Amino acid sequence: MDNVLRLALVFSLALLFGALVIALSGRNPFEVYHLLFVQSFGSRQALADTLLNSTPLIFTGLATLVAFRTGIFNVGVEGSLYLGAFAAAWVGFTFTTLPGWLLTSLCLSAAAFAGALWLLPPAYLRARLHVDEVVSTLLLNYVAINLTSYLVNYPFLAPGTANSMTVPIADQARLGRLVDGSQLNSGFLFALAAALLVTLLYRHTVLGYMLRVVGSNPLFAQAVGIPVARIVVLSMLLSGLIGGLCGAVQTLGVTYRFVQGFSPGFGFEGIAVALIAGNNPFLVVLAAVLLGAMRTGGTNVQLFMDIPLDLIDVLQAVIVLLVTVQITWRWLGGRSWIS
Amino acid sequence: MHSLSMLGITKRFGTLVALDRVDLHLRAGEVNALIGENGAGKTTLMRILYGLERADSGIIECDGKKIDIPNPQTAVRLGIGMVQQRLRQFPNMSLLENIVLGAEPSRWGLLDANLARSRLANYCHLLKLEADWSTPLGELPLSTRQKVEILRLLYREAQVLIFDEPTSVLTPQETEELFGIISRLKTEGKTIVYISHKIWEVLRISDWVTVLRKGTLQCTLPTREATAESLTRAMIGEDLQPLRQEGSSIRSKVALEVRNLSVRSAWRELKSVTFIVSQGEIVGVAGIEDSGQQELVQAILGLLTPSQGEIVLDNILLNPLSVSQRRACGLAFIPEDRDREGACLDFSIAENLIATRLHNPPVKRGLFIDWGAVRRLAKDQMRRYSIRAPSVWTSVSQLSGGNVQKVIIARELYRTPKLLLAVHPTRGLDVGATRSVHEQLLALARDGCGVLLISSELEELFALCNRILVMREGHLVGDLKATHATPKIIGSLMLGLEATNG
Repeated sequence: MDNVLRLALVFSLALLFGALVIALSGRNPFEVYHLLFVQSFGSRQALADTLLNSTPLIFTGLATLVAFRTGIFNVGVEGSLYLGAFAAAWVGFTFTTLPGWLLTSLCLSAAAFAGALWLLPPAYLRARLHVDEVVSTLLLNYVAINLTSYLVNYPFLAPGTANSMTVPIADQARLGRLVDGSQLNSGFLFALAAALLVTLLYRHTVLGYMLRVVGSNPLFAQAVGIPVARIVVLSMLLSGLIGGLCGAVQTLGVTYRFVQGFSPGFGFEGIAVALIAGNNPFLVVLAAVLLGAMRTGGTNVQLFMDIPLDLIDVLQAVIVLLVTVQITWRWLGGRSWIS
Repeated sequence: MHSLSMLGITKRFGTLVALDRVDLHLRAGEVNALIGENGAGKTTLMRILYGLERADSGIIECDGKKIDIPNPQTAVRLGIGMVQQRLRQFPNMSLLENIVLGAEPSRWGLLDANLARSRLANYCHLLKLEADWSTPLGELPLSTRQKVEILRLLYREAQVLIFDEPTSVLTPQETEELFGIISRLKTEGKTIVYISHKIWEVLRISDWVTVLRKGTLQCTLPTREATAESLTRAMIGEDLQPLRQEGSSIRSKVALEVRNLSVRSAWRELKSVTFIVSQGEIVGVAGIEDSGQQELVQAILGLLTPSQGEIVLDNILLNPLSVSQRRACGLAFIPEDRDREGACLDFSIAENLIATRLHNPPVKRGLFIDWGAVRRLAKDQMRRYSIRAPSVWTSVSQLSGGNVQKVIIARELYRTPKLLLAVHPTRGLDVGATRSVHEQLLALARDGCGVLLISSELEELFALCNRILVMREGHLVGDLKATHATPKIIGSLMLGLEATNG
């Protein structure tokens, strides 16, 4: 409950700050916020678009969370996402004769595998040689982006296109749409299922317990006989796996092919989501939907009023800032809590 | 400030009553001791006085006037300062910066170090503190860091100084030094509150002693009227029976055999150590701190790889096995650092209790943890080891040191192990808790378990052990039958004064 309150508090403060920025630029903040709300939740289609935008953020938020909880600051989800998206596309346009359900699951599995495999080297280096994972995973992102960029520009460039994209995947591999007039697809349901599975993992399984112990107190974990290095590797692989799935869901549900540079930084936004959610899978969904709503509403507000989408970036930055300074109730004169 | 009174203080944490209508009068210019077992409410009472907690009811009076202390800043303004058990300092900042932080004398907006130093000179003399002002605090020993903390309070002109179990981090010599400081502070007219569970300390240095038990006030009396026996009775509610030592439980079979073991860690090298622990035998390891005990323990547990030699537990060679495999063979471990190695503070009591049996039923069912079974197991263990907490889901971080140790012991002794590695198992524990740990170790030996007990307290070793090993600079320099050894022999072996063998 404290967590939900904190989330509400952080968002309200961010909105307040945003209102100040809007007012300073000579507009009425209420008007802008009203429009922002209507454009993100106000209609069936707006809501659908919000959920569509939140889908990749749920995945990347979960992927980041899984690593964070084991005490690993994995910032390489973006890389897994690109690899996963490409793997899904490749399977999707290569094995076109397979039936839909089989092809889709094959695409998802290939993506999960590719995403996990991508983080194996930094995971191993971190666990065995204590190589700082922030540096290694951050740099690997650029390797992944450029590697897929090469693949899509040379060996797998769709003939006759100017844009850097592959040929489309087989029709039967596509994820079904959920709402008319929106690209919202069953990928969103996969995201919810993933959040549920992650919750289940931490609350009810032996592996989840071990992941939590290693994140909370590695010395203790070692002394009671939990294989710390193996758990560290496992958590990073799991993180990469979820990142890979995120890429697959974008490919199978939205782009239907691999497009160079298709992610506007979903992986990095996932870090913000995980931070806001305070490592609670349920709150990851909530935080992702809120950020997704801001993205949806912001895009539309830009069309109606002369307010740049950058406002949304400002709001998001404020949120992350507030979360990072660990704003506390104590500071507000209430009782203390420990995050 | 002349006198300070706390009247009818009550504090609850959930369903647990930490303090029940407790009165305390602090007499100015005297050492007021507050004594009681772990979890008796001593620290909570002082945290209320220092503004870290609010009392649910009760008042605080200063010179007969009611005062309100909502936060430590107010307490500091009133001249109250507290040296906490776990020092909260900035190890990367210098000694001087740590002292003046928050009340910096400044000139042109910059720290005026000269002014700060001159203000502190007097007090330094009082504390006999000799250290470079610019040294980062983290590089200094704990005793110096504690002095820095006292200095920080004096710098803020504290009249009332609260010491929360200050000797738990000190060696005997450092303890003596602290007592000197406290009596000098007293002559300066400061009021001292001394929280402790060690009776001899209180008898040594206090003028008044107040005894708490389970959150209730037992008595307040002048120290000269108190005796060790009367205080013990007030603290634990009964007389302390002498420890039961029934004959020898040693069996002929060997529990642990260490052969020619050499281990190298970043700090120290353990060289060719050989000894055995029989079943039912308690073998003590004496030695000044850091003589290789740490390396020995880590090698047996499996955290350090030996460069040579063998470790055999009940006819199984441990060398190639992992920590969890060794534990499965019957190895149990009570670590020195309770909060870091012994327990996971963020986790609940129940979660801590199952850490070593994740792969055994009834905890594990398929891939899942059976939380219902865990709850039953934890409830049972809490009753058996009288762990005081509101629920099995209470976070271990909320428990007192004695209760944390009970959780650790409950976990490690869940199935009678073949060998228990116990490292300073009673460090920082009160009389009652120490006694119960000792009894558990003896009972364990009676059941045929071998115990390797590393301790810095010779009294403890003599009370429990059948044999005592002595380590010095990574070598095993003595292996004596407890009946043949005297503290003097052990002491000289530890320090390397002469070579004796029993």
